[in-house]
Amino acid sequence: MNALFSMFLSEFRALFTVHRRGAAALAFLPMAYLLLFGGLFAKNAVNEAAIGVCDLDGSAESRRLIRALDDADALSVRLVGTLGETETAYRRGDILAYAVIPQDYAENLRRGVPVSVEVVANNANTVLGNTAMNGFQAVVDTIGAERAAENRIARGVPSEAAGALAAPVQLSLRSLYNSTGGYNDFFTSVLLLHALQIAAVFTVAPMMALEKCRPQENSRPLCRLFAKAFALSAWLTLSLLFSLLCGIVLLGMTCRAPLLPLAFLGFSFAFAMTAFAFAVGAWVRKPSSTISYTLFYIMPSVLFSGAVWPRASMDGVSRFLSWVMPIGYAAIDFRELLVRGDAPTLGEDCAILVAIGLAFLAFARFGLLRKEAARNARSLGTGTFPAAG
Amino acid sequence: MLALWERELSLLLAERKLVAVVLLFAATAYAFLIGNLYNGHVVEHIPVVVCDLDGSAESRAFCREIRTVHTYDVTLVTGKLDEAETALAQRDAAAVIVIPENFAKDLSERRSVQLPFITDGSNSLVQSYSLAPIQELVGAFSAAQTARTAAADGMPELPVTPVSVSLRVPENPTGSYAFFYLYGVMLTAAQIGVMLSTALSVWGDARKPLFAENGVWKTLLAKQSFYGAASVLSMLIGLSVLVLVFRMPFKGSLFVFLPLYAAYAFAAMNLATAFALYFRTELALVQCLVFYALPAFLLSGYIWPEHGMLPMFRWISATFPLHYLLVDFRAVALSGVPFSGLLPDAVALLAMGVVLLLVNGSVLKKRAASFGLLPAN
Repeated sequence: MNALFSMFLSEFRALFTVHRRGAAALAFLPMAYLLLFGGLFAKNAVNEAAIGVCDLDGSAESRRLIRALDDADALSVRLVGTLGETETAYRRGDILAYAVIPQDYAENLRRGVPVSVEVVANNANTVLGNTAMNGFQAVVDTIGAERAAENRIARGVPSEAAGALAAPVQLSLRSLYNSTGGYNDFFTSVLLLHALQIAAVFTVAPMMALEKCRPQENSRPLCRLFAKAFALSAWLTLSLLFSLLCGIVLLGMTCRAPLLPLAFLGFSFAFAMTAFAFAVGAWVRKPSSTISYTLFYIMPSVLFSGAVWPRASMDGVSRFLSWVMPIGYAAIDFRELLVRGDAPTLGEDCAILVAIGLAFLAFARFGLLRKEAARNARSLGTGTFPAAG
Repeated sequence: MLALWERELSLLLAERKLVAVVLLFAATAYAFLIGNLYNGHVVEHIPVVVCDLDGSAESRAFCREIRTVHTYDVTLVTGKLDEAETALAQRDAAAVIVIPENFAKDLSERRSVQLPFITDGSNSLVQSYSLAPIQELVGAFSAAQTARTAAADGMPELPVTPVSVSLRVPENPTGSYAFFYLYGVMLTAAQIGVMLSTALSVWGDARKPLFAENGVWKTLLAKQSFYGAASVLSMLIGLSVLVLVFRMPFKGSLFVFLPLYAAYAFAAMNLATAFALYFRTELALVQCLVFYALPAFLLSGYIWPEHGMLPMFRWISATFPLHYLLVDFRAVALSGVPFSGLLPDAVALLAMGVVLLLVNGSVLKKRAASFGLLPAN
């Protein structure tokens, strides 16, 4: 145990002496991604969707509707024009949606004839499209309820009953854990883990492919590999926690979990990904190829993690991919720890991540043995001897 | 020129097979992977718990309505609020719909009823997909109730909803996540391919006398035409997969989009060339290119719209070639916008490409001069 610990210490020291650049990259990348994506989602919600209005009525009532649309946080009226103008602006992409207030809007309202306001919305970007559509719906519903109540009061219904009759059932929304639906709590936390795996694989795998066997490494190679993975994972965990702290302080990210489970999960994930990087680096000869090979896995893996697109909506193949990727055991737990303060499957998931890590370490060891055998064969073929010790 | 193309091809096939695979098939691989992931288009099987505190005939009728929502999996109908809240806390439910006590009584006595809808907001995507059906359901139920009450009160001539929205969503009527997301992912993968292959090709040859022997501009033209054509081919294969296999719409004309893609590939290849000239080691170059890919996609304005960004991020976004491509591509595919709508972005991409080309050319000329075959100026 003491030997393992001293190996760990020597590997940790090596990070700041032999692999300074690698250690800097491992620390820099999660922080850089956090600041980039956290800053990107800093407004937390998309508001003021640009809309147009074609007012075919031109009455005081229709202008009231336009004012209400413009006052809504979600919407910003950029154009009030003819049907042709609004359609052209919509096609050009200058406005995201437009409403057509029909002729006789005010007159029909006054007479109690139902009126329909046509809304055309571009939902190609569902984040924006939903903002616009919900904004329209809310404004028109409010005006409709007000008008219905006014109609009933005019027919002699007491004013307190008139409102209830206009909208007898109303939805009262309560969102737990991320009450504003902010993207930083939803997505940036997951991207932070993604940054960690990108840093681990694209930095450690080439380091592994490049690294010459140092003299002391010939004794107990698996222990040495384990100590190396442990040291790198510890450094990555520190980097993750520091980035998270910056996210909390600078970006107002929610963190309801104590430090220990976060560190435990971060370390388990870092260990699995470092071991994966070792395995890739041990089997691939060219350092830059370690990146090309893993591109197909690393980049889309975050989408399969289940943290964005839920597993229940995946088909069998995607769900299988989701379960074989280490991030599938970390991303949801990490966000749950941050926004809810606990993750019920944390223990199991960490155990699985560590098991994945150990399996990759063993695989890496085989890769290194294979490389060593190839090197020895080459040395024999050229009549030279491998470096002693 | 032909000799230079042959050289690039033989190098790709002999020394950079993996890069060739990334160049030609990354877009296709991503199209298959992510296309399959989002093949359901919307989030379904959302676990919902109904807490019926009223237990009346009306509340049971409303429960039955909730069960008909095809995106919901009603996992539990309970009369106890704590049971429902426990299900939410234990992740057995993504949302709880509470039908309050006296639901039927309040309705019959013309009192407004608040229907709490408690959601787990930790996954905003699931939350937004869970919200839309219940809003629709409550709206319809409320309107029907108003009509019943009006008839009972002898005021049937009053409209149930004096003003309503008639919504038309031509581009993405079902709110499909695949329509929203897939094109961008495929094109980002194509970007990785074209930038990686161009950068590695330039990086290798910038340290050899190739540019000096063949002339800087001619060599650059040969490389960019070769990798640009390969990238167009890669994008077309990826797009075919999306349209033919995953039935993604493509309302626009390919002839409208191809000039924009060519302008984009020109800018992206010159950016990759600039990276290749900057980095001293091949490894650092490849690392930079992959580190660049994700921010380029997320900051492009494709997912998080430009007007939702802080000004500084808008400026950063404007420096990425993808910024001028992705949103336009989706607009061509889903709305069929004409080329005039893409022209400003095509011009921006060409301008970006030309500036980078001039910088790259002058750097390469200086390097070529060091081989003694070309004058420095």
